[in-house]
Amino acid sequence: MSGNYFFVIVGHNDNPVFRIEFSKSGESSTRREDHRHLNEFVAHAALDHVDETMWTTTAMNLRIVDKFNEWFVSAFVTASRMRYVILHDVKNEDGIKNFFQDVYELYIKASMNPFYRVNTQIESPMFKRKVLTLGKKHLLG
Amino acid sequence: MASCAESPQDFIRSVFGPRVAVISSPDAEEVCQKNNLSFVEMLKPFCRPTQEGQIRDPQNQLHIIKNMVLHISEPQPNPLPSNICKKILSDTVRRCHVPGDQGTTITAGDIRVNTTTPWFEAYRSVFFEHSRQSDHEFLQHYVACILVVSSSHSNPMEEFANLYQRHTETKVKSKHPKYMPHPRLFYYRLLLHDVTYGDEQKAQKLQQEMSVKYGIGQSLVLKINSRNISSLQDSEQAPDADPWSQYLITTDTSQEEDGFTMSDEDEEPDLSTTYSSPPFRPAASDAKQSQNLTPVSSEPRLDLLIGDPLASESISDPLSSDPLSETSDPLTRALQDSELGTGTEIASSRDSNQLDSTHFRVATRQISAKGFHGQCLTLNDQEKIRAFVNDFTNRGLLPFLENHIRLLNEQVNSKKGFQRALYRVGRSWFGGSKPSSNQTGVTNYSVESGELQMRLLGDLAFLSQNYDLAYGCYHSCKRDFQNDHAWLHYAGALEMAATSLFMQTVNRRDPYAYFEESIQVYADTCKLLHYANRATLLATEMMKARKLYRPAAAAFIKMTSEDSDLKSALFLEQAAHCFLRMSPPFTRKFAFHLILAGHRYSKAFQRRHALRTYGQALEFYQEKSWSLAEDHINFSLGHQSFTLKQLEDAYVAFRRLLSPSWSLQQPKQQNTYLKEFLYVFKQHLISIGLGSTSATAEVSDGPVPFLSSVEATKDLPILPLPVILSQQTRVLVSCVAGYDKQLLPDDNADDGHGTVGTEGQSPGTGCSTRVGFSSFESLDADCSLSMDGWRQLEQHAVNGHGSSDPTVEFVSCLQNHYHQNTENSTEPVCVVGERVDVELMVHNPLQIELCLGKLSLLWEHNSPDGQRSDVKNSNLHYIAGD
Repeated sequence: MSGNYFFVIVGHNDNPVFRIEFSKSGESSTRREDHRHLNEFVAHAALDHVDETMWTTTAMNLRIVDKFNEWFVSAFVTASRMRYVILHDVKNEDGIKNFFQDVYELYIKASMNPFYRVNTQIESPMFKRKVLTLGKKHLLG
Repeated sequence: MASCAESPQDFIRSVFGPRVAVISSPDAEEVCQKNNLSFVEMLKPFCRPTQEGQIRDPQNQLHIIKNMVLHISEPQPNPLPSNICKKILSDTVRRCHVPGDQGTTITAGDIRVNTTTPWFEAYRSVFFEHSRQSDHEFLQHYVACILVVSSSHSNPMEEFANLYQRHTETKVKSKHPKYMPHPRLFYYRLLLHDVTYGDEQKAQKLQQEMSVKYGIGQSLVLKINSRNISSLQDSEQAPDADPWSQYLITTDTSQEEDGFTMSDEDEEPDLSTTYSSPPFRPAASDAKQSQNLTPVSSEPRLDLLIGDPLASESISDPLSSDPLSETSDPLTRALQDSELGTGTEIASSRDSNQLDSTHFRVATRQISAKGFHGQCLTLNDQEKIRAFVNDFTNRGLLPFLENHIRLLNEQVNSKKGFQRALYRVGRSWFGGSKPSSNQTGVTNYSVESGELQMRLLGDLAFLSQNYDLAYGCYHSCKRDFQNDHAWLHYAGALEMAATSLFMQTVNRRDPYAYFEESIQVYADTCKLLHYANRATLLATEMMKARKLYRPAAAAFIKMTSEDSDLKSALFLEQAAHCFLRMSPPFTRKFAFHLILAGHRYSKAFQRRHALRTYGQALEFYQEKSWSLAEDHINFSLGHQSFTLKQLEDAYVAFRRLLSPSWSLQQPKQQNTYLKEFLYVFKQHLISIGLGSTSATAEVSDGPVPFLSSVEATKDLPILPLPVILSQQTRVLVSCVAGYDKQLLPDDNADDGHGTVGTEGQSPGTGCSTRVGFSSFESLDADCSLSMDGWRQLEQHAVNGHGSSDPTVEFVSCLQNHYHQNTENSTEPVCVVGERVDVELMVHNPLQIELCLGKLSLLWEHNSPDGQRSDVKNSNLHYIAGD
């Protein structure tokens, strides 16, 4: 089962604050490289749907909001309207839901860092490492 | 979707207008050729009857008919092969690529977007024009036939009879083109009379005869060619405006931008092969036929069969700059592009024995593009032509249609009712022989069958703009088709039912469900993408009118497929525009679909369109640090610009690629970007006349550099790579020259804060016997040395020499190095003839190696009186590796 995931946190100006890719080991990297920009395009385009859907429900987790070819796009909106967008090609609702929750908590802690300005890039390697672990746990496991 | 020039109703009316065939005798063609036009072309600008027509429906209600458009053409023995169709379509789109400033724009966020897409409209018109005739519908069958004979013929009446005879025979024998089933084809006889050369009395006589024989409204004498060109001195060229030029492709090269032919010629298939196949049989074989027509003219025309009637070179019409042609809406241009583009004429349509020969004789526009069109026609003549069209429509065609609608209506109604119910019951009881319903839904109905009669009635009603009746017919026959599992007919009926619903003034229901179903049946069950595309075009037009943009976008996207790049590109672009017009606008989807469309355009070799879409989309991705996406766009933009020889744009695009956010790209990509950039940069420099300079200024060995190239170097753009860390620049002044003999003329490069124009590297060691530092290495080594002690000593030495003379200024000789930690407020003093070393720190943010070579330092001398010298080139010492 090919579980490729592309996760991006988008700020208020449509700028990506953090991005990371997950995939099962053994994926051909060349194929992915050619399409990395496609991931960005799809995620960016899905923001329209996210913005539309977020007003229809009070839940934070918006589940699948958009679809492009074989990619599904799920989204999660935080209380400060930061949008988490994840591209995936297999439906993994529970995994994604848990992933979002955990990343949300992680993000809250990161944003409470007084040296971090909201809507800027998250450079902290610890954050990245933790997100990687979470991804392995929920998404690829 | 983008705003179009026509309203949807007009669009549908123009697309589904009655089709009229023209059969003209050769002498009639000759009369028209005096104007550089064929008969069909002559009529082209006048295809819209100016008078409103009236028609009564079976219930005797009067309907007014407005804005009808006649489609006049010569019947062709074979449908156009699909590759020619594709070629025409792609050329139409290619030709029509710039919306210009008169497009409407809407603002999305803070970005203004131009929302007119004339190329799409052009594509659409041509698509409909070449829509294939089929058995399941009658809308595109020829409804009428005009027989044209000239009064200069020896026996026009007999000629009319002959033409009629021959035509009825060919109609029976050939499957294509399709005409309305007999007797529903309307024949109209036209006598062309050449006023200058013709015999007036003969014309009068003939007119009498014709009106007696054929009746009013079925024949006419058209007097044209009132102007005698031979009597015209060279004083006046025919001064009238030339409305025909907009209908013929004026492929003057002035309209083509640079690089069009160059870049696209490798992709354009050789049209001569396309057009010449199937092979043209020489005119000699026509001799078999007694009545052969125009073998003479066929020969020279073939000779002029240029490989590419659609492409660049052609003699531009000297008067084509009249106001009509430039701003003509692309619709008419495109309508006639198609006409012209193939302009296939039958070589042997009149010869019944040669029906099997598939001749294509391309009417080359080389003949007509030369010179003026319609020079023999005065404005009066044009009026007369207009009057002819009006007469034909209002007094001929419409009453004919009315009659037949009435007849058909009665027929159909009588078949309904008892008879039909019985029939149906009988069939259901005995399991009857349904018409063979295959999976593909091709069912063979005979023309006389009830269902097809109903469909015919619906079509006729639609053509005469009686949408209520049309809807009723379509609705009932769709039910029949569905029961019979005749899917193709079913889909067709659905499509037209939906269209007539839309055209009705009082709409009760939404036609979209019908449309969706019809598209789905066409695409999935019948696998006829052509009709599915057509239905999509109609459906989206209507959805746009009702502002249902989301389903329109979905419909467009659904139809994008692998088979046709151009079509997919156009549809994607339209879908993008639909997204833009939603409220709230989906700008990001818009941008994304523009990118997809751009990609398809480049696959379909429509470079300009690709460039345009990428450029439009770039605005939405800039400054948002979606670096991979932006890089991709810039890369594509650079590529396309480069191929179109727009080096400036290519350079700018590639330059943007070298932006600081490099960390995300893979090394391979970075390598590629850098290489492309350098290549484009070189080309760019060459093109703007900086000659053979490479990316950095060339250094000569001689004492006098090539000043011209050096002077030009001050125009050299500043590259973002490698990154210069200007704060860490160091300057070492007046080192004793070691081994090199080339001494700098007096100066400093700057005041010690290293903002030099290009990359530079510091030379390294030199031996020194002075106090102070002679090289940067020694500076680094002894950085802990404080200069204060030395300075004090120096001061003592100077002051202790004598009394402190206030006139003698104390100038420290010690300090000869300047960097960010030293006191740099005074300008350093340097001895003429001594060396100045400058060290620049550079940083390579890429993951790949950067090779820097042939570096030199540019410097400028400011003399005390404020003059600045030119930027001079220093001589290269050597580079210390990184």
